[in-house]
Amino acid sequence: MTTRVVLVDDEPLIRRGLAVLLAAEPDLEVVGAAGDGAEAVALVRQVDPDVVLMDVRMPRVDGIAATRTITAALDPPAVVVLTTFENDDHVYDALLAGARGFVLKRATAEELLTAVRLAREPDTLLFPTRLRDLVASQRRPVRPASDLQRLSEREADVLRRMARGLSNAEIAAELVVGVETVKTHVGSVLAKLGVRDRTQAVVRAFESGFVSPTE
Amino acid sequence: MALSSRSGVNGLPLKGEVRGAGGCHHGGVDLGRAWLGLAYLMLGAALFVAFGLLTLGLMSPLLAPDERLPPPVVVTLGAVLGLALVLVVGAIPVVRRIEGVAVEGMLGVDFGGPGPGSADRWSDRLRSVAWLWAHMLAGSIFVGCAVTVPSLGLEASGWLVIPGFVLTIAAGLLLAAAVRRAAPALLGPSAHERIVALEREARELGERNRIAREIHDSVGHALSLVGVQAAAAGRVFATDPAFAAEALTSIEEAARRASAELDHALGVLRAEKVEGAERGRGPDLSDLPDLVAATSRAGLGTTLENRLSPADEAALSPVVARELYRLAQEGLANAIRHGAAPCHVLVDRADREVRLEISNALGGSPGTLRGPRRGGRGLPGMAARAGAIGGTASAGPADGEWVVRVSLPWVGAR
Repeated sequence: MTTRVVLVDDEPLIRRGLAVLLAAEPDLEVVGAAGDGAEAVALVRQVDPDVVLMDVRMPRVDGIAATRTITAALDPPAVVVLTTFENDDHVYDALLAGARGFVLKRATAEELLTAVRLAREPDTLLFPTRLRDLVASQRRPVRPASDLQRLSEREADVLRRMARGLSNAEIAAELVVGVETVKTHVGSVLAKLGVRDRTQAVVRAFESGFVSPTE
Repeated sequence: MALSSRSGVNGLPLKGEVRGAGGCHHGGVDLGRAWLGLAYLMLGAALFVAFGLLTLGLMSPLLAPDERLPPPVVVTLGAVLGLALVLVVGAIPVVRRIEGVAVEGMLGVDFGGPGPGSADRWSDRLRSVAWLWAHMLAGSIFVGCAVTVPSLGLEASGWLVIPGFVLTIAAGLLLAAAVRRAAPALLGPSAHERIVALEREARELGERNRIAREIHDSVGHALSLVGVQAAAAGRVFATDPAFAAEALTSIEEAARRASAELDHALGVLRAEKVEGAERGRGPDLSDLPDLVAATSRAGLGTTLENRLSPADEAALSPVVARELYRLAQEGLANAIRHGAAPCHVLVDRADREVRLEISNALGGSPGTLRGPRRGGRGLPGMAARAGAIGGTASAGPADGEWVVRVSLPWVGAR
């Protein structure tokens, strides 16, 4: 099964480079490329990809707005944000807007390919350390969220481990329970927080101060 | 990126400090400085006499023999009138600057920064008036001592004239020291002036931060482009050599442009540092060849055609010459972003205006380094800079070239 990818970047040379890089992999297929957020939204509707690699800073409609629109659809593709700068406010905003994770443009080819492949896995957090650094670099006020209080003790344990980047299997091993049990907990965490995926749950946990990014 | 760390606010010490006399911090007496202090007191005495005579002149109708005002009333009136005259003169804004220069030069007081300027605010004017009173009072005491003490000694006994002189000099030195100590409070920068200095500092810092951000943006952008292209080229080197060759070309161009932008930005920072060091003298038209050479060295071949005659150049107002340099600097940055090498810089005079034109081919790979946040950010700044002195600046494509045009009014040196 190939992963169908859309590339979004205002710089044609970056698009071209990424296209060549991804097309060289047998399991990946580049199904389209767009130069700004508006083009990206239209293109995604048209070709229905699995993954969108999305630059954040673009003229006209930027990556944040495009991510919000794309992820608001029914059964949306996974959006992975492409960024020149680590710890960029825009990247954080894109994550809040629904992106699955982010990858640096200066990342190695392996890291980039990993990001594209893992983006489809709902049980995996993309580059947890990077995500934590990004949250830690944000000097935004902590926004306490009351819905986090509604988590059971076990669900809170699971969320903390999700924030550390553990997979369901790893969490199961740490808590000495079955993977299916963990999956159930993760499902109820997402439901109680009203978020779509793991990344969103973790960002909420960091944002509300439930988990400190410096822990 | 720490670009500068200067102590104090723009070099202003929190309290005016007294500079060690000619570097003599170890309690030794600097003769030259001591004499200058006494001379400063004599100036105060001279002012006192001048104001005294003026007061007498104005009072003369009251002093006529047929006027029968009691002496205490006359003396009080005279004192009030004299003080009022000093108030009127001392409140003239430029008096503060004059006194400031005298105090720096003769008493060796270091106010930090540029020293006291004209008193634009009433609080500063009143402080200047207080200073003038203090100066005249100290001066007249000193000269009063000089006139009376040695002669008193002479009357008592011939040889006592020498201790009399010594006493007078000692009193003068003490008075000068007292005046020196009072100077920072009465002539030093006011809270308002400190705020102005702070604001200027903040502006400079903001400008430096902006440049740092721009370096970060443009170089970061270029390097990620280089990274992605190189990674892709490496992967398909054998299977798609045409792409690999194409990628190498883009990498080369990106690296060259980034290097040019970097060099340019550092040039701006360096120029500002020099300007800060030699207050008031920034790079001007005469530094244009250096700027052009630096841009060329960075890989963007640039030629300069200066059609101004040496006489014109000498006659041009320094302000206009400096702005012209800054505009050329920004214009070159703009050209690097929008066009390809080589650049041509033209400076020309047309009647009542001086013109700057920077042109380069639009070719190469247009907009290679043009990121979303670089959509001509420099141009509004250039237009504002030119507009501030009554000129204009514009940029855009014309006949296959990217052309930056600047026109400033021709203003003579004075």
